[in-house]
Amino acid sequence: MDWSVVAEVIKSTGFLNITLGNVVMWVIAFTFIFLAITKNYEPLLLVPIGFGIFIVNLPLTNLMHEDHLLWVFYHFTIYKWDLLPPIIFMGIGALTDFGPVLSNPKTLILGAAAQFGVYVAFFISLFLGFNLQEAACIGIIGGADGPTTIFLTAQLAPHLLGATALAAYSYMALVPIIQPPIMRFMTTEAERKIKMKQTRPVSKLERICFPLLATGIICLLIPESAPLMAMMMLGNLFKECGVVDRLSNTASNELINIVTIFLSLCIGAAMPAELFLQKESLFIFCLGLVAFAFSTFGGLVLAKTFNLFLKEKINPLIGSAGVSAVPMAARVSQVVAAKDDKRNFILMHAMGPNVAGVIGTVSAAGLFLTLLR
Amino acid sequence: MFGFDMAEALKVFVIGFGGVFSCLVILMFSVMIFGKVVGLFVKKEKNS
Repeated sequence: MDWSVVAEVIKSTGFLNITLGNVVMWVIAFTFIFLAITKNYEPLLLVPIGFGIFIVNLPLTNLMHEDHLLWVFYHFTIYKWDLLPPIIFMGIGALTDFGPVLSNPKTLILGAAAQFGVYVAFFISLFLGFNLQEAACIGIIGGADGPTTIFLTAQLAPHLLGATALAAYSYMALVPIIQPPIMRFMTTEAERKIKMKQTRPVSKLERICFPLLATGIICLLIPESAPLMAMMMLGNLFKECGVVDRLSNTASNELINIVTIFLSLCIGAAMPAELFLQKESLFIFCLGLVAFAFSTFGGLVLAKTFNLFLKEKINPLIGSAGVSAVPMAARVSQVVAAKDDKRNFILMHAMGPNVAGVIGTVSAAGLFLTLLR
Repeated sequence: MFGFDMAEALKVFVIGFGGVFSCLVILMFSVMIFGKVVGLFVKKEKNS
């Protein structure tokens, strides 16, 4: 028997090529899948991301090599055409109710203030040695908006895509843990107990015209934000016009689900050990947390500043909802407010800055692209 | 002094953060004005 053939076959398996880096990445992958299944942490994202990390770190499978399965998905739908984030945004638009913004437009400003952390992390990243493009991609994690982070990183610093996307989605899942201590530290009990008047009803005409108005204004001011902004508002127009329910349902269900599968899988696949296990990844995770904390801080400070001038005080807790993790951040505002007064309902008020935060993060990303590409 | 171009970074900060604020302020006023106009239109419609 020719044993050299057997030896060749054994050599061609991945087992003899497993590295310590691969094993570390498997542990990370299994942790994500475990957290998703047992703790219900963003399961729709963490299951495919975890699986993507696992399979891309199986030696010799070459799934991310040129012309192979995951490379084709990643290269064409994210890296080359940046296609998936805008499609996700269409689904988000079809799921979003802009009514709270229309009934209280002042909350749009809170969505802008909550981008403060983006720029704090941007500067810290520069001091840590990242270049301007990389710093922008790290900063945008503070917007707590996964698709926008992917959209920007794919264009400015694609080598950081895995780390920035993972940090953004991780912190989105950790909103209920990260935000409340900052919210309680920044506000007094009396402020947290402020009750806000019920929002005015919004007419159907306003709801239908808002996506057209917002698209026109934001896309004319920041043309680079058009792919995300226009698609989000298209989805919202589907929802609000009431005559294309089939399109609205498709955008908000089947389409967003299909795209989420490929987007998440590609994010996981963008994390081979040799690229991910570097000190830069650790920096990115730490800076993401800083960005997120300062975004929360920025929203709270502006809401408190509003109260110095407004006759009808607003509950400053709605300011922290300006980070765009919709609707989690608004729910956290409600939970924190309810801890001091169970009859205080600020959820709908917090939804205003929450959806405004999405527009704010998209604008910030568009401006980074304008200035740094 | 710094390992990066501070002037460029400041430009990105001022135009970026200022730009986000300006955009949302413009959108806010547009929504307010539009809301008022629609409000008048809807009231008139109800009266007629």
